[in-house]
Amino acid sequence: MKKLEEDITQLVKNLQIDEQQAQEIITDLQAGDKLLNSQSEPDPPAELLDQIEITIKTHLSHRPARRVYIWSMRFASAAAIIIIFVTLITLWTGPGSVPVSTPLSSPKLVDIYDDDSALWEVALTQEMDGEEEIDDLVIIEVSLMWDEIEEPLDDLFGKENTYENVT
Amino acid sequence: MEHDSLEEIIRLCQQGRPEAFHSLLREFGPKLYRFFLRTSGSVHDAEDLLQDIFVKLLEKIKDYQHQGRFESWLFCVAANMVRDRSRKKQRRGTVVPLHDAVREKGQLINSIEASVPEPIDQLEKSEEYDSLQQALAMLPDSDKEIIMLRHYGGLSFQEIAGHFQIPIGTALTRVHRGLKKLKKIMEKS
Repeated sequence: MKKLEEDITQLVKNLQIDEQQAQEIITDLQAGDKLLNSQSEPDPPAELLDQIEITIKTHLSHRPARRVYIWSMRFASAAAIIIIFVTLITLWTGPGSVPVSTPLSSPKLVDIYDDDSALWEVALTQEMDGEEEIDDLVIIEVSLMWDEIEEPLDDLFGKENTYENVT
Repeated sequence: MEHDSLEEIIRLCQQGRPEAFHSLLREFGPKLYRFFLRTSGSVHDAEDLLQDIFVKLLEKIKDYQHQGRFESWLFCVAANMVRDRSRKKQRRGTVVPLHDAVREKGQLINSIEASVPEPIDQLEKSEEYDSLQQALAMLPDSDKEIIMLRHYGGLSFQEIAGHFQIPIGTALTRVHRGLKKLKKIMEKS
């Protein structure tokens, strides 16, 4: 009440209302406040407050699931945007150049000759780095007996990779 | 409720803690209910609005920045809700069945009876309340809203002027005029 009186007094002063009119306003406002304060004040029914508490609890307990849903939606839309972007870039730049494998004519030779079994093994590798990259390993087994060789080796391996060159 | 603890409660509400919302309900629920009851003039509306404001609060509290005037902010939200509801009702042209109106009046008197301990005063108090309600119904909605905001929400004239986007002198005039009119109507009745 005191705060309100101060508020009114300050305001009346600021608005430069004459003394008599200011006093009249203050009296009227105070009388009005007194009238309102004298009225009985009904309280909300207890069941209503209980119901609101339940509503609050229910609402808040559903919130995390909703948040997860919103976040997953965000991630999904971000992923979709990235996919669309990459697709557009790919279409714009045209099909990518086909990776050229190491030609057969210039293989990295790992082993070529097994003396005991008279078995030729030519292992051709592309970027072979240990056993993990077994997919990149291409093994060509040539089971040829020394005396069965009919065609020159340079026909089989190319000119640079004749038997003499690789051994 | 202490100023600091209110700030703490608001912070907890912003973190989504139900017990903090319950504290706000206990603190401001009755005042808000009376505000809704007086401005809408209907027990049914007051109950609905009280529920609605707390549901709204669950969402809106995140945006609230505590600067020491939570009550004013809360009652401004409440005033907007009353106005929205009133507009919707006007648009729909609500027809209240007679038995509902009778029931509402009965509820109104019952709720007053519950809050008044002395049985001797019961009739007198309910009549007083009723006459106030009748007097408020004769005021324009804008004046009624301003008076109630100041009375229940404790809004200063500066805050009232800010909320309604009117000059501070107009806010004072409307409160003054409204209270004077209210007093006159009640004296007559």
